[in-house]
Amino acid sequence: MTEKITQKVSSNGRIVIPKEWRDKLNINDKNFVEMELKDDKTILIKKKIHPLEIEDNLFEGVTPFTEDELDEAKKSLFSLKE
Amino acid sequence: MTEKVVVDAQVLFYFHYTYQKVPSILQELKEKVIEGKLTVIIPIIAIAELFWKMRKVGKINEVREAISRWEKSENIIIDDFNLEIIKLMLDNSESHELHDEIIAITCKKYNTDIIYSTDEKFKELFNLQLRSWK
Repeated sequence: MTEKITQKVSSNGRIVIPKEWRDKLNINDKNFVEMELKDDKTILIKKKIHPLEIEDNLFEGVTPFTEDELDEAKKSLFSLKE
Repeated sequence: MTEKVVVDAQVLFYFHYTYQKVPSILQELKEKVIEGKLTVIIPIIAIAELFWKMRKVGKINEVREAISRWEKSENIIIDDFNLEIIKLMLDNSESHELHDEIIAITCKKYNTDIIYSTDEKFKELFNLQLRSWK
């Protein structure tokens, strides 16, 4: 469902994202938004998501590097003297 | 100017691991990257090590996805191992393990002395500021 509001634009072009929408999208003062001006004269505003913010735990289920693994990985790159 | 830091393969792993299990210093690092407060330099050699580990457990597509995300990040730089690194290595008369030297020299290339790793050699041999979680 599309939600719509009408807002007055301030003298320097500012508008406010309604609190309810900010809460829904978890937008706070640390976030950035991307704005896109479309050919049909609409403006699209999207919360900017840093790629590291995606919390799908790509490497879940794998154990972190051990010292031995780090040594083995190095050896596979450059042969080390035993 | 934002702070620049170099990271090793372990950090790359923790970038995409269950957040609660990530060492606190690396949780803070990740937060700063997300907030755009610093720039991360990834030496290609660190990606190769991560790939070596992940391929053994069949996580090739996950590595592919991780690389794609790093490439899309405005404040993550993937540094290719190239001739510029070798030219900077020419200033070192002492012989070091190539792996460690390439990563250390990557710091020099980007004019930073901060490295996130647990390897004390970066501090002892290359005088880098080691940000370790051990």
